[in-house]
Amino acid sequence: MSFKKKIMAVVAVGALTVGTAVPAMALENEFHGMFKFMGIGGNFFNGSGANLAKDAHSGTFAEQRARINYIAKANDNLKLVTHFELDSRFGGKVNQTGQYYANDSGNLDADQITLETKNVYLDFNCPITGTNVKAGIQPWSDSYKSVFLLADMTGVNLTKKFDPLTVSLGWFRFDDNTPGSTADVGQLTADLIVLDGKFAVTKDITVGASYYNIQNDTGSTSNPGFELLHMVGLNASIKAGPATIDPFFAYQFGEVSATSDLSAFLAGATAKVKVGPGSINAAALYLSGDDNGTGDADDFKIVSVSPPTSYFNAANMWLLVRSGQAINSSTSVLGNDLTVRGRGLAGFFAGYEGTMDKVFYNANVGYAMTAEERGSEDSSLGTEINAQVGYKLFDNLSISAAAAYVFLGDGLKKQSGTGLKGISGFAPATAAAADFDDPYMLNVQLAYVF
Amino acid sequence: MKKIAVLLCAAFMMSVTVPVFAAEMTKEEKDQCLLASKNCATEVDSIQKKIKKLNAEIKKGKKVYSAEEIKKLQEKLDEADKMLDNLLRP
Repeated sequence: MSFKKKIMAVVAVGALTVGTAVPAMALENEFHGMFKFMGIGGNFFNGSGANLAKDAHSGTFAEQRARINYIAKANDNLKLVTHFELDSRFGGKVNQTGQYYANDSGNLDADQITLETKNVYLDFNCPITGTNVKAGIQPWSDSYKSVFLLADMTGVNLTKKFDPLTVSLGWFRFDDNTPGSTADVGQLTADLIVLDGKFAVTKDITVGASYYNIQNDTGSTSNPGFELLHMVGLNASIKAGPATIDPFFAYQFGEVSATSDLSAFLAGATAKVKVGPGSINAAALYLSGDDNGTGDADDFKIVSVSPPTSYFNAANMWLLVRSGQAINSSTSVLGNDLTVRGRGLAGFFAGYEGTMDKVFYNANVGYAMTAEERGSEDSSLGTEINAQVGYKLFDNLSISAAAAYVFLGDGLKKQSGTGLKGISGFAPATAAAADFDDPYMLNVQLAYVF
Repeated sequence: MKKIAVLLCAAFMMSVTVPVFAAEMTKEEKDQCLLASKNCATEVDSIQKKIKKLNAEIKKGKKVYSAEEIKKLQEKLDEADKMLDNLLRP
C-alpha cells in the first residue's frame, strides 16, 4: 500500500468513526410533564362548575390530570415543542344525554379518548436576524398577571432582544371556526395583535409597556364581548432588598358594538417580602365596572369566560378567585368571571408561605367586592380564609392538604331582584333559594412534576 | 513504521468517540441503571433539576463564564421557568 493510499485509509477510518458517533448528538429529546391527583370534599364544586346553593349538599370526589411535554431539539436554535393533557374524574363523566365526554376516561374499564392538545409549535432563532420565532399552537400570557388573557392559541410570535430592551410582536387567530356553508375560512375571524416591550433599567428593575389589539369580525359579541379593543398598559417588576413588587396598569378603549364605546381600566400590584423562614404575599386588583350595563361601557373586558382564560393566581385563593393549583374543577364563586359580568372587581389578598425542610405551608385571606353597584345590589362578594400544608415525599413528588372557607357577602348570598341585595346572575333568584350557604372545600393533592 | 502509524491514528480516533459508552460500567460494577434507574446513559434532567443546575451555573458568575454565556444561561433559566409555569397552570 502506497503512503497516499494509507493516508486515504486513515481519513476514511476517521470519517467513518466521526460519522457513526455524531448522529447520537444530533437530536435532543426532552421530556417533561406533571401528574396531579386531587381528592376534593365540600359543598361547592359539582365536578364541572360552581355550585352555590341553599342547604348545599356536601360531597366528595376525585380527579386527575397528566400533562406530557415532548420537545424535539435539533440544536439550541431549533426545536419543536409539543404539550398534551389527559384529564379524568374518578368514576367517569357523562354529558346530559349520557354520552361520555371525549376528554374523560374515568369510567369502568377506561378506554375513552382523552388526549388533548395544548401546544404544538416550532420555536427557532432566525440565523439572519437573531429573532426568536414561535409559530403554531402556543401558550401566551399578558403582562398583567394574566387577568386579561392567558391561553393556548394558534399564532406567530416574534421576539427580538436589543439589550437591555426586549420586544415581542405577535399575531394570534383565536376564532376562525365558522362552518364553510356560512362563510369561507378567513372571513369571520377574531385576531389578537400584540406589541410588548420590556426594558431592564437595572438588574433589579424592569419596566414594560404594551399594546394589545383585538379585532372581532366574527359577527358575534358574545365571546369576546366587543367588536374592537385597544389596550395600552405599563407594568414593572422591582426588587428592593427582601421585597419584590410588581405594579401594573392598563387602559382599554374601542367599540363594544356600533352603538356602544368602551373606556375601561385595570390596576393592581403584587408583592412578595421575605420574612423569617418564608414570605409574605400581598396582592390587590381593581377592574373598572359599569354601573348600569347599558350605553357606553366602562367595564374592563376579559377575552373569554368560557372557556376560562382569565387568571389572578397571585390572589392565592381557592374559592373566591380561581386557584392556580386547581386542575379539572377549576372555578370560583364568580364562575371564573373576574369582571362579575361587567360590574368590575376590587380585591385585596394577603398571606404567608414558608418551608421547613420537606414541609411546606401557606395561609391566606382575601376580600372581594364589585367595583360598581347596579341598583340595589350589594357590592360585597365575600371573604375567604384558606390554609395548606404539604410534604415533599421526593424531590419531584409532594403530598398536601388544603382547606378553604368563604364568608359570602350579601351580593352573592341574598336574593336578587328589583330592590334586593343579591347580584343578578350570581345570587339566589328566588326567596325559596335564598340565602346561599357559605362555600367550603377540603382537598388532598398528590403532585408529581418532572 | 507507517503501518503502525496508521493503526495508532485509527485507534486514537476510535478512542475519542467510544468512552461515552465504555464509561458506563465495567464487568465488576453493578448495573445501577437496571438495578435502581440511576446513571442510565439515556437519563435526562427533570425540569426542577434543570432549573437547579442552571441556577448553580449562573451563580459561578464571571469567574467561569463570559458575560455572553451567563446571558445565555439566564435565557435558558427563564425558558425553563416558563415551561414549568405552563405545565402547572390550571
